[in-house]
Amino acid sequence: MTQQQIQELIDRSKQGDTKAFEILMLTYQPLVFRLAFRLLCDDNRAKDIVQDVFVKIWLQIGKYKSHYRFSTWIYKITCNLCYDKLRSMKHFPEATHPPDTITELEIISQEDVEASVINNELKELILYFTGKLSPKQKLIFTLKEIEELDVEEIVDITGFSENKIKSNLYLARKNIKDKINAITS
Amino acid sequence: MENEKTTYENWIERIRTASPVLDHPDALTQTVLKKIEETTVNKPKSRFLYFTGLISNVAAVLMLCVLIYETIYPQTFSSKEKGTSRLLSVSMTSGLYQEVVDFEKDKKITGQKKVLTVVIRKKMEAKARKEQLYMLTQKINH
Repeated sequence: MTQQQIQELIDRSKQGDTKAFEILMLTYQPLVFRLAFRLLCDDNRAKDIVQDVFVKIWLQIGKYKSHYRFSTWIYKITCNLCYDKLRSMKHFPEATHPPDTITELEIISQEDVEASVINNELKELILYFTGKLSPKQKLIFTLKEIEELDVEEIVDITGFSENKIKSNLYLARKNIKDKINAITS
Repeated sequence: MENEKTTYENWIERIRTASPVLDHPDALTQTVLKKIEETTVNKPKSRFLYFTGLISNVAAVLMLCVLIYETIYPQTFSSKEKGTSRLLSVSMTSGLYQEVVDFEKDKKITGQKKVLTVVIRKKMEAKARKEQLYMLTQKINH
């Protein structure tokens, strides 16, 4: 989808067109879920974040300024919500939600099993190395190293200074490399 | 050192390539749309509440300002205008109202009495002066 098409959908959404917003949502839903999952390492929490992010976007789409890329604005909202969640979890992201209902356990398709296996493996992989990072370090590390964003864009998203981003990134890398050293030695 | 770097890069690469899988994305989209519809329906109600609250707040602030003004600049009964406003500011239902009316009446009568006394005194003095002149002219004529 081109930037012009996205802008058109945003303009229509600003006028209350839910169909246009649905297309926007389907386009950016994977991005939001991916980032939320990488930060929170939990399926259900990531889905909650997706819901909160898009409701917030719908309510605040009038405030969106086109000099930012729309994806940057979405990253910003997602990061704010995930950062608050990480802080409230107080460094214990491994504690997962219990299933909401019994039917959630009973009705489970082949696709769901595959998704669950992939997500669990990824969760363990991320948590093993980043479990001890502070919320700020984890956020910056994920944006820079995993999402591969520029420092300037991270400044726009997080509102942290460039020096703060670099120092947190250094500490995060050091922490992870220490963990790798401990395993190999 | 080399081993550490390779392990780190492998790990990063694995996380980058393995994206988490979102099961039932359509269901999630529908849930979000339902939430959005709910917020849109609730909007007029919340707007009504917002404006009602705003008007109430403005009224409360105005009342407070009037109270503060009354406290800082208390009204006196000396002038006619101020007396009237004071009368209006006193509640009609309170017992004070009658007392204030009586006080105003008494004040008016006392004032009138004072004016009358002065006029009468002047007239009496004038009369006495006329009498003296009359007596003087009588003496001269005789």
